[in-house]
Order: sequence, then structure tokens, then C-alpha cells
Amino acid sequence: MMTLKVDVIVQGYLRELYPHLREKEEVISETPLTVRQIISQLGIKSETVLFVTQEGRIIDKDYLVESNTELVLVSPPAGG
Amino acid sequence: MLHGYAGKILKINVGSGKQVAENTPPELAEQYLGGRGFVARLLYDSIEPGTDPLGPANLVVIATGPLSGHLLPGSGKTHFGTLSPATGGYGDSNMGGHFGPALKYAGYDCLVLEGAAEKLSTIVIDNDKIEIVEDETLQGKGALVAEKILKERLGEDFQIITIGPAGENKVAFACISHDFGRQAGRTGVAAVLGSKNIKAVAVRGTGSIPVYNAKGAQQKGEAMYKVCFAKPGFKTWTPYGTASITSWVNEVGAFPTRNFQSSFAEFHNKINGQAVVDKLLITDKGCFGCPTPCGKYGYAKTALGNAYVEGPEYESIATLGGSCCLEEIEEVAYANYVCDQLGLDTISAGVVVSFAMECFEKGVINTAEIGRSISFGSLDDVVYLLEKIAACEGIGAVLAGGVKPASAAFGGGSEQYAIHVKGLEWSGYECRNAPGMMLSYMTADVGAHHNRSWALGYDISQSDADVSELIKAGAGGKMDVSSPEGKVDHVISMQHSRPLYDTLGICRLQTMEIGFETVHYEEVFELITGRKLSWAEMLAISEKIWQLTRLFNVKHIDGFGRSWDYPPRRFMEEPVTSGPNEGRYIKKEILDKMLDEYYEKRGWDSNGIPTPETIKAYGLK
Repeated sequence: MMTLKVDVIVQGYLRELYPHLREKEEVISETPLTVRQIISQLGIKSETVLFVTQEGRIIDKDYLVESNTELVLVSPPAGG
Repeated sequence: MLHGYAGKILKINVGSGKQVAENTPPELAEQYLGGRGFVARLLYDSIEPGTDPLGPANLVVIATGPLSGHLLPGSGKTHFGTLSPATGGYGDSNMGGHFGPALKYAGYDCLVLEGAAEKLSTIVIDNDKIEIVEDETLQGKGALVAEKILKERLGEDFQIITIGPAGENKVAFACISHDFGRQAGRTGVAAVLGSKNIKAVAVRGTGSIPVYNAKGAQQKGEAMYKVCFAKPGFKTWTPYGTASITSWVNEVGAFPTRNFQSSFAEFHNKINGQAVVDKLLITDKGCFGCPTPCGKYGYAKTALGNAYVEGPEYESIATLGGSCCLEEIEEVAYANYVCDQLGLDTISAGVVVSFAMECFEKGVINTAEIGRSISFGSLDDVVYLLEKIAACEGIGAVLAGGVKPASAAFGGGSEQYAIHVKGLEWSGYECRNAPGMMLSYMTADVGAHHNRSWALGYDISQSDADVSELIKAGAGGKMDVSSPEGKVDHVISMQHSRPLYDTLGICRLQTMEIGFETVHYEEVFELITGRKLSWAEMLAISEKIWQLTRLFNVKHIDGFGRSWDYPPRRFMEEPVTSGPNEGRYIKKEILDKMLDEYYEKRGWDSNGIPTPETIKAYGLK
């Protein structure tokens, strides 16, 4: 069985909402995970994330993540 | 010497022409830092109770912060304040661009305007040479047109603020325009400039600002840019700017639609950040010192006309797009452009126009009073009303005061859906299932404005419901985030942190969006000013300013107190009509419970008035 290892960057207003998280978190799983599931594993409500990027491109929260990738969680602009 | 500051406050009586450049008091800088702090203290000390907001005794204070104009990210902010013609209380508005740095390079931390000129005039500040130039040829000119004329006349190295016809006609939500698309939009500061017959202020500054440790500050500033550029979100957030939030706000059921009857718009994908990029965008546009240019400069083609326009930003999309139901981004952008030329705040303007549309729909006002029939979704009707408002003609003369006085004039129960707090129209977040955000709007010192505290994300983070699942299931009305528990502390905390950026003279978006750490501001503040202050100590100053602006409202608004802190009855009595929050509203009892807790934690009595003990504890008088 292949182990999934994903780095997740948590930044901006999300760090205010979830102060227990570091700027860079690591998620390891023995089963495949979607972006939404990874966010959930970090204790983040996926609705508080504006969008998620991988290598600079926006990806769907239901996207199945490959191992050894880095996801960036982008905060809502928090006041437009 | 005050390091980090220009060192002077320039006071101009635009009626008599008297000009005085006073030293910036060190104790003012020590106790109130700058920007919003300077505005609040100077207004509180200088304006007598009973002053007419549109009379010559009112002041317009334009203030920079200690970090404005220095070599660091987002240091282009300028703060404006006045006794607001919209609320009769404390009014301020913050603007990006380049004006504040130019004012500082000219030698001034603050510009204070009083009196009233006899004829329409422009103030020209060329370092220490100051002129008040009568120029009635600018009368009636659009705010963007006036800036272009003055740039051609004075030179590109002048930074200029202008008002449009709405400001000249003293519309309560007239805005100040700068750099062809930046605005100090809220609380009607431009109406006060109009009452003083000031069409524009142009500044050229070629001096320098004393810095405590110039080499260290330069190195730190450069390092701060590198930190910003290295943030993982840097490349992904900037391309869409604030409009990127549109579909997200809709998905969580907070997008104002049809004058806030609903919080969900089916057409959101046609007016979101992607639509701005696909259909309008020519180039990004940034403010002074900005590493993350969120301004989007574009071109809109509509049946009514075409226009180059900066924006629309999210707030303009929410009020002109959502609340007025303009379903195409080009139409939203064109309405945005019309507001910019007329010099109208897009937030209040969108809410006022959508209020009129609902009044017409409900038969409260008729075609004879309006001059035609009007309906949600019509760009032609939106532009018609905007032009009437700016000219104060016909129905526009009533709407020009904002929804609060307009609903009093119209009657027919329209105060139920006049969407404001304290007389300031509500910005772009519908809150009937977001109690923290609702409390933010209720208790904001200037009225219903979002940038003092933006607690919507906190409300959602506290929810047990999964919004996306509810939308998929079509399960409107089932989402429940509305427990008020724990919201008050978060709102109070944000009401200190957000305005602190306006006090220091910097943009908050680098921190809020890409996680730029506040410790950098502590370090650069010390290198620039020679004064060591932790972020927590700065927040304590921001907290004191919050108490002072409340006292300003107590001083200037007859009968001010708890009754001024409620939202419109729609939010307490009418269920949301569609979307994930369908059926939701927040009962007055819940809001009262939050207000009680909020007042107690603020040290205010049950009527929302700071107690003598609180006033003493903060060293205010």
C-alpha cells in the first residue's frame, strides 16, 4: 500500500481562525484523500477556504490528491 | 525630532485662506500613532456639539500613519475623517493609492480643512507652497475627468483627490476619488468637501521623512518584500483581487440579493472574479508600495455605453450586482464607472438604488414620483437613479440623503428594508445566519461597514453544517451557524486589529490574504520611529481609539445609545427567501443578548455608553 504524503500551506485569515495550525502542515494517510478530506483532517471547515491551489493552479476541493504535492489554502479576502 | 513622521500638521481655513503648519505634537503620535488615531483625536477635540456636518465649522481631516510613505509593503494608505453627514456621528474612510505618501513628502502628517470657500476651488500643495485656486470650470465635472484635467494642468507628479457632482451637491454618500479608481468611499467625506467648495486637493512632495535607523529600515523593508514574494499564496491570490470572494460569499449564503431579500444569487458565476478576468481585465493596478496589486483595470462594453474602469471590487459587485440584480459583469462595471464619475460610494449607492427598486415594487413610491417605472436587473434604471441622486433632482433629492432619511420620507413601512446601521448603508455581507458578522455591523463606529470587523469566516468556522452538502441537497433553511456563543470576543478582537492598519497607514491585505506576519511591522516600526512597541501594545492603542470614536458619537448624536446599534427589522423578522440560509433570521432577543455581552466587555452601560470608570481607565477626556 502506498502512503500519501501532502504538504499543506495554511495562511492569512485562516491562521486567525485556526491558530493551532502552523503555516506548513503535513498530512500523511494510508488511503487516498480528496482536497476536502485533507482540509478536514487538519480540523478546518472547508467552507472557510476560498480556494485551493496546486503548483499555482486552482483545483477543485473534490480533486483526489497525489502524493508528494503541496497544497496552498487561500483565505477569503476578509473584507473585500 | 519625530522619526517616521513628516513633523507638521497643516491647517487651512479654506474660507479665509489662513494657513498654519504646526508641529505634530509628540504626545499625539505617542498616544494615537497616526492615521485613524489622528483623525479621531483631532475631530473629537475640535468639533463642537451641534455642529452642522455640512456647515463651515465641520472639519475634514486627512491623515497619514507613521508607516505611510516608507519603503515597505502596502504603505500607501491615507485616512479621511469628518463629522459624517450620513450618520451625524463619527465618520471616516480609508483609501489606497499615492496621496498619503505625497502629503508626507510635502512635509505634512495631516491636513485639516475648515471653513468654506466662496467659489469652487482647488487646493494646490507644492511642498511648502500652498494655494487655494478658484476654478469654476471644474464645476459639474466627473471625478475622474477632473483628475485628468488637473494632472494635465499641474503635472503627473502631483497626487490628486477629487470629488464629483455628487460631492458638489452634498449627497450624503459622496466619495473622494483618487488615481482614477481609488476611493475613500464611506461616510460622505466628499459631501463635506463639497460643502466647503473644495473640488480637489493636489499635492506634490519632494522632501524626505526622518528615519531613526535609515539603513536598518531600508534593509528591513527590502526583506519584507522578499517575504511577501515568497509566500505560497502570492501568485494565486493577486490575479483575482477582492472579486475572487464573490462566489464564495454566495455559496455560504451571505451575498446580498434584491435589496437583501435573499442572500443567494443564481447568477453569481456571471459576476465573480473569474468573470472580471475573462471579460474586463486589461491589467492589474497597485497602490504605492504594493507587492500584491489587487486593483483590476478593465474595459466594459454595454448597451448603455462603454467605459474604462478600475474594478469592480467585491463590494461593488455585491451591492450593484447582487442587491440591484445586475446579472452581467460588464453591467456591474459600467454602473461602477458611473458611480466613480459622479463621485458616489458604490456600496451606499447600490443599496440606495436597490432600496428604491423594492419601494417601487411594493407600491411605496410610484412612476410619477420616480419619473418612470424601475425594476431590479435594469442597468438603465440603475444609471437613471444614480444620475438623479448625484444631481439631487426629483426622487434623487430624497434618495441623496441615504436610505434612512429616504425611508422616513417614503413611509409605507419601508424602514423595514432600509438596510443600514446608524444611517450608513450596509456593505456586502448578508448576515441573517452570521451573528458575529451581524454584531460587527451593529457595533461598527461609522455604521454598517465591514472593515472594522469581518467575522463571517469565524461564523462559518463555528458551524457544524457543511454548506456545500446542503446546496447539493437543495436543503435550504437547514444550515445553522447562528449560535451567538463566543462571537463577541472575536468581534472585539477584530475591531482592534483591523483599524490598527488604518492607524499605521498600511494595507491589511498582505497579512489577511497571504499571511504576512505582523512581527515584521513591529520591527520596521522600531527601525523607522526609534520607538519599541509590540503588536499587542499597538492593539491597546487601537482599543483606546475605539472607545474615543464611541464617545464622539455620544457627544454629537442626540439620544445616542443602544437604539442606534440595531440592524433593520428585515434582519430580525423576515426569513431569507432563498439559498442555503433560506428561512433564517436572527431574533432581536439574540441580538440583545450579544449586545449586553458586548457592552459589558467594552465597559459600557446597558445603553451602550462608556461609563466614567471606562473613560478614566483609557485615559480619555
